[in-house]
Amino acid sequence: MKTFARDKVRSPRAGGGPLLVASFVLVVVGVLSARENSSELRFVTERPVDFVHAKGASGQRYLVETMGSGAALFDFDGDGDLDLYFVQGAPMPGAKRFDSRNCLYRNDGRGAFARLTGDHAAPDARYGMGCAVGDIDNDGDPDLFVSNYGRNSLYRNDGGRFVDITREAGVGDDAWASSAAFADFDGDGLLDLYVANYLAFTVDVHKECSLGKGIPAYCSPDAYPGVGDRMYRNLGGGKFLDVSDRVGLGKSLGKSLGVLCADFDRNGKIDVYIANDGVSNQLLMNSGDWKFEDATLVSATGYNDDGLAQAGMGVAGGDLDDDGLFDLFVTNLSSETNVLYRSLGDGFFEDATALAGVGPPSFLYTGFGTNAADFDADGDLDLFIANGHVIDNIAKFSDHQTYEQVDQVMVNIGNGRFRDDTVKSLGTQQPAAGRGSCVGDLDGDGDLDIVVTNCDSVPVVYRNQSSGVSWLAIELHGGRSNRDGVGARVRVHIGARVLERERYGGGSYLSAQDRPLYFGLGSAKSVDRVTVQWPSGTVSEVEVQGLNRCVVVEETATGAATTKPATSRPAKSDR
Amino acid sequence: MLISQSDVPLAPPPVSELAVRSALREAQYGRAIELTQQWVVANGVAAVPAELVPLVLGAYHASHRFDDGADFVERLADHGALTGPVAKVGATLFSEAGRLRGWGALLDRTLGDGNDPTLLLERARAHFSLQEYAAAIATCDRIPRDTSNVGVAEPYLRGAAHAGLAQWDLAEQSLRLCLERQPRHYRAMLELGRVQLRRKNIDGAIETLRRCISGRPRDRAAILLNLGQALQRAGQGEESKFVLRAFKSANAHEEKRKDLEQAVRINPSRVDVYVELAEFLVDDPAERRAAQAAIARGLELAPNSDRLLIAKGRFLRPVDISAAKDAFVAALAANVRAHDARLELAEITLSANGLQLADRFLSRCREHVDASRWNLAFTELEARRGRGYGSAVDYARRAVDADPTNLEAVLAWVDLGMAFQEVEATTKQLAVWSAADPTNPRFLIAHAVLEMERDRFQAAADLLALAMTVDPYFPPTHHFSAQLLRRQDNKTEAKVAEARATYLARVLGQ
Repeated sequence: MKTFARDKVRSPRAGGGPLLVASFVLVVVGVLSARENSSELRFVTERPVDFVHAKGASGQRYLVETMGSGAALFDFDGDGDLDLYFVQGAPMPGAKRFDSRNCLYRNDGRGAFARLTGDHAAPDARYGMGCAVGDIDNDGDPDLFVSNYGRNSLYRNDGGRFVDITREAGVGDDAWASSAAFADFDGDGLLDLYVANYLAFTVDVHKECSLGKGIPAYCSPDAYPGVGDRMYRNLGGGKFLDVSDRVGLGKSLGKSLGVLCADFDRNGKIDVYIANDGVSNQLLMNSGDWKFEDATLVSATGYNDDGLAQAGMGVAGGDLDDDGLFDLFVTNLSSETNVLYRSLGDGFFEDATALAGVGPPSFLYTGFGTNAADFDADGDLDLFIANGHVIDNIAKFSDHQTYEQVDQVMVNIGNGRFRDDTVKSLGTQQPAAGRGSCVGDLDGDGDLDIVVTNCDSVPVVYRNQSSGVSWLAIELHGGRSNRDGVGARVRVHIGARVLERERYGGGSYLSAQDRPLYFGLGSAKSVDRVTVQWPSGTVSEVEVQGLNRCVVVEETATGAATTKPATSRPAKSDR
Repeated sequence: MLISQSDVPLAPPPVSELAVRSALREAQYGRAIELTQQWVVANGVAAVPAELVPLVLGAYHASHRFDDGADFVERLADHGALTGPVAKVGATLFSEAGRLRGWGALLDRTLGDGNDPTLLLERARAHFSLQEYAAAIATCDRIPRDTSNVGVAEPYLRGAAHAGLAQWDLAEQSLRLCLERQPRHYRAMLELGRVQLRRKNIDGAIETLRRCISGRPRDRAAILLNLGQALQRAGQGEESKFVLRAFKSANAHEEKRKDLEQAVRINPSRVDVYVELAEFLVDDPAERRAAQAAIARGLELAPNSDRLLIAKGRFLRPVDISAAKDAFVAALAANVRAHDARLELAEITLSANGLQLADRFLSRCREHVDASRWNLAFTELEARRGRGYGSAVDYARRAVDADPTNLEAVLAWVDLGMAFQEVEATTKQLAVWSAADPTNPRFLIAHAVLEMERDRFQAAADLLALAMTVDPYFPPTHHFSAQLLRRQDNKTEAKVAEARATYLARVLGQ
């Protein structure tokens, strides 16, 4: 049973260049008046799956044990609802054995999940870290990349059955990988792959570390050298070419954990931002032809205001201050604070942590997964942060830090400022060692839910209970562009206000989501028009009838303008 | 008969106090702590003289026994002895021990409703450390207005807290007040520069941050990053690139220092970490206190470490040549292969004209030390021995060849040319070096110096102008320009050039 309201709209008007086609003019019944009309944000905590993450600890405190693992939220079977995939750890030497297969759960459309087993459920049993989702063959179903401590895996989705194509694809690198992202870096309509690698750690080079007092503790990343990230060019036919050396990634040993791919300087080419642990973050600006320039220093996105590299973990992105520019939010270790890099345009940023008010609330927490999404559907992006310290016995070294921590919601209150809404919206929480997080409308009720993975524990789902606001979800089906529309920019026009979202690749920490772009519309009763700027350069303008539904916008293969009447199903909440 | 107070013979201090003081003087921190603990067991914590307490706490800090030190502070507080000076050291001990919450609670207990300015300031700092900015400001509000000893610290803290809350107006107001009271408060200057940058007062930020880096090399990374970004936003791309490059090296330096300090903190009895830390810090004028502590603690653990003794000698050399010499000799006594000590001793002896001894030191370390530095020392030896141009110049050439970035060696080449009136040969060789390495401005500068010495000011000015096109950001070029301008009686321009040289040198951490 399909739970989403899905209208399929082929681009009614499309131009081959940047010229916008004259818009349809609709009568605006209600104009978005965001914050004053936002509903009260409230989540309920659920544990809808029987998955339990196991870190495979042996007592030796191998660093890998405390870093994972992630999850994916995607519609693998194309039935219109979001399914779940959890990445599992594996026993480290000396640890008790357990079933280390990753777990795929099918959503029955009513919020219940059933575990799928067998080889077609992508059951990679290596020590799993994270995953990325993308339609690598443009066949309409999402494929799955799994990053491991050990060889990575790529699964092609054949109509809901996953087939391991790692060997043929040539992406089975065995460095310790963390997050990964699919994006079309060369604009050829095929999703390429960026794999963030963490440390040159193996059991053989394991070190015994401490934070003092003679008490053993997990090592800091300083204990091991970094490993160069990998970038793979999609050649089509399920084959990839490792272009890391050509791009210069081999020389850059960043200790990477989070990665987000978006067009930061708006030159039509997808750039890469990497959150690094203990060393400078990196912004690689794509200048075409597989040339990337390290713009970290000039862009001011590598260090905090004190000129110090931080322990970058996860990264979220989007227009966080409603100025039309793509900002970045990076989660860090406790005592460092998370950092918001506000875009000033043209690839320049400033540290706006203080202005945004996101520093002090994060001081006691170690952030990992993070998502910028409009949870209260008021038209601007809020922030979610999954928290949990790295060091399981941190309380022995500090009287103000704990290993298990609560997650946080920061609500956007306008002008680039945020308010810590955690207690109000998430309620009483069971603290845990939060790691990955992903966002999507799990129950098809028109608001965004959150899935959080916890190290060595059960994942939780924060089910959004907000109501009474309008929304619109737009799913992109590229034709000339990659089918997922990664790199596309969607604008929803409501009166004088324009909401803009970019379909970026990656984000968060070790986690992935294959989601439509979600627009909270507050009290708006209709939208004037929606424009889509596709990665191919095509600009489409579509008419959307009615709100509170998911609309599919298709770019035709030639980029020509065709219109197809929408087939509309009401949203679950409307039924 | 009345006897005045001054007639009363002073009672000798208890032996234990003398012993503690002696241990502290000798930088035997472990011993000082041990003696204090014995004393406390025997006489109670209240018996420790108030003026001695901060020194003992300093010993806890220097030997990285933060938890023990914090415990001692707690005991002092229980006996009502948490005074301002104790609180200052206590704050660091609690912070290093990871007990920020405990420190705040202790201060609250001690303060009650009181308004001791120093304790209130420390309480505000403790709030600030946990980024509780509003509470920090509220605590600052409790400090009596007429308190002079927190006159600078309070507005700085208040300004930084307002900045943390993005209250730019209030932040700027407090920081300016702080700078009014103490114009060289560089932390306040940095904070003000950042606030100006956030308020989009880019020119103001550039001016403030330039002043800040010219004044003090500490916090270099933070200053340079913000300055580089401000320059970038002002469209001064070239200088921004230069500053950001300097930032990268400053950042690497600070990261390394952080790593070494962390290593020491984790295992305070590992000598090798102290050695590395001492060697890392000893030549940095801004890090003398930290270097001294690392050397002292290391030598307490390993009194015969030749590397630590060499570090000690290098630490003492700018202030006490004789003590430095003793340290180098001790290093050699500890290890006959401590060749760096020989080179240091050779340089010291040379400056005192002890040519024979210098020769002995130099001939025994030749193959084991920095070639450029050795050859430069030998150049001086040959020149002082009056062996003639031919011999000295040979070593000067080798000093330059070994390290063409050693400006001292290049200038020694010029000095020799002038001293022996070999101007033509000197300029010829400078031209050869310059042609071989056209991106290196040092040969042009040396040539300019030569021309300056010959009173050929226009030629010198042309050469310095050329050097500036090769590298506009090389501080010595501006320094010698200032010299030239002074020689030409252009004092105003000379001052500007010297200020530029200082600014660039600070940017580069020189």
